[in-house]
Amino acid sequence: MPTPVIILTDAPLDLAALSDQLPIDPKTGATSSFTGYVRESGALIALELLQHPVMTRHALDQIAQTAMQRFGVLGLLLVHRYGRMGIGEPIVHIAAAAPHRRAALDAVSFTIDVLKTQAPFWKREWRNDNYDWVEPGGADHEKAAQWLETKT
Amino acid sequence: MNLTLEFFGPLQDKMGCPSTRIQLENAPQTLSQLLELLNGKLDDIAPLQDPHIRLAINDALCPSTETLSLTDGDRVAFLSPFSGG
Repeated sequence: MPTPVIILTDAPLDLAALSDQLPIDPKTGATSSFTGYVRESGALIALELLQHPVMTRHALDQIAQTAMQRFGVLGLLLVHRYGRMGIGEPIVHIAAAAPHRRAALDAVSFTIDVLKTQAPFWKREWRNDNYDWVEPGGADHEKAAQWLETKT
Repeated sequence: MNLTLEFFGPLQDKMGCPSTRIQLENAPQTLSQLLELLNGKLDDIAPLQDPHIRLAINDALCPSTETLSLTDGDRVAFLSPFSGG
């Protein structure tokens, strides 16, 4: 049974180097990936992600393993950054390898949609010397609920 | 019993600290009993009464409706809604 590759780090993500981290099985017929970045927004100067010292890693493991089993993917890479990030920096990178495209695409969608509301991260936006907490939106909960309430 | 209360996310700011130690005379069996016992020991328990807050005991999520099995020295974490990705 293949296991996901999980990287939780406060170091900047090197996307080119990460592309080698997705395990490719000879039965792989499709790969899919998603990368989320800090986007420019008004006077925003940085985004800060805070994690739980134990529970965050555990939640990422659980979500990635569930995605692999549910969609039958052959390899899954889940990389999440924490700490302070500038505009344009990657926050999260997910990649999946599967025999067919639908499984690879769905595994990536499931993983990002579910982790947004089920993995213990907290986000704050820095403007000058002040920050505002970012609460998860209704759309985030709806996306996660769609996956968690339905089975393919 | 002695407990360490931990606060994560926006709750840290609302409670004014990342963690605090408290002493309770009785072991609470439910979340509402715990909040009742904390009333008066903390400056303001209102932020902890938000129904969206999740509870964890010693780093393991605990459904808010579940019976609490707390023992002396446990860490009880109050987690603000998650916002990853």
